[in-house]
Amino acid sequence: MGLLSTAVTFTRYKLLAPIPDDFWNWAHEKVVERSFQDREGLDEYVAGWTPFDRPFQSNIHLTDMSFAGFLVLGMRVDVRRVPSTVLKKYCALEEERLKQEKGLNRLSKKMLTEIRNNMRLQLLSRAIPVPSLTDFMWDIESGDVFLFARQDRLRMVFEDLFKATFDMLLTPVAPYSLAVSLLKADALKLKALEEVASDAWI
Amino acid sequence: MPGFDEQELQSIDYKAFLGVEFLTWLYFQSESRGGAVFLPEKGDCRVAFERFVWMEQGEGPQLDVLVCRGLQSQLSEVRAGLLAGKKISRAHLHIAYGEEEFSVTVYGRSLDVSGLRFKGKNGTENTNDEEGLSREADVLEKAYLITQAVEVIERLFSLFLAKRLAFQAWEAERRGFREWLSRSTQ
Repeated sequence: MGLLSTAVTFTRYKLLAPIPDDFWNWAHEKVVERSFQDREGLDEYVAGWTPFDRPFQSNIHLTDMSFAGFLVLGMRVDVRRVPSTVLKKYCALEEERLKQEKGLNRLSKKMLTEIRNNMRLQLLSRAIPVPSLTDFMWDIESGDVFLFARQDRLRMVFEDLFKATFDMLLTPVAPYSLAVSLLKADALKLKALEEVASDAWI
Repeated sequence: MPGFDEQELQSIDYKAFLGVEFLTWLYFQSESRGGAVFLPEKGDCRVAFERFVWMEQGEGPQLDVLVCRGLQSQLSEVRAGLLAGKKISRAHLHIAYGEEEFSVTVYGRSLDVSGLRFKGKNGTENTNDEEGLSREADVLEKAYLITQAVEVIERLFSLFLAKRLAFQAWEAERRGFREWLSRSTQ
């Protein structure tokens, strides 16, 4: 799924903030700071930028992201998950073990919470991160940003990573925001837009 | 920007009905005028509804959804849906303008796009390092096609807004819609 796929799916955003004069050097520096890095640890997910056509490479040269007036990058998100049934099973085994060890009929709420938290971390450290890959394209002149995905989870990660990288807020293009940008400074139409309500056509 | 506050702009759902009404209006335009819609600066644009049309009425637990499938999206079913007061919430469109043609699924409430395909452009997954130029050409061609497609959809939405936000023009449009629907279901 991405920019060069035969069938393209995307979520569109608009950037309202101005961009720096020395855009490409500035953007490259910011992107390199947030390029994808494999990390040992217990993070449930790790996200970062990659060249759009080499998602398993972390080095990003300016030529990997600069295409005339478009900035194009891949976003890689590695997710570690512990399925809830697996967590339940290992918690139950640990609870039984502790009951026998301590000679108790039941465990306190505090102990149960502790078991659950510890077990989750143990299982998380054994889980293999699963990469999820998608691309994004930024039309520098128009301020349009296209994320080539529609899933809510990916959108949220993308919006956070974009904000963390460029310190700019993405505004999703939806009927109302698009209407506002198309009507520009037409005060009468903007007033009508505020007043318009859904009504029956029949 | 005037006319809205930050929170409203952030909310995709705010006045999302405009996207649903846009698709419904576009269907009316396409069906009542032989598929041709005149776009200022672009000329005639042909819009056809294909494969499937999702319709809806009401909200929350009262939401009533109708899915019409088929090569011509089962026109009679769509018209029956319109007669019952439903509007189009998602549709697969085929749009042609100038020498370009594309098909796309548009989601009314968000204006998200999926399955955007360009006729005669197969798309490539070029990962060959030695073909840097080809890689750049592929990206720029696709970027151009996507921005053109977005511009066409945006212009269609602009046409709809111009009618929808002008009281008299909208009343005339609704009257035309009712007459067309009445004729086409007789």
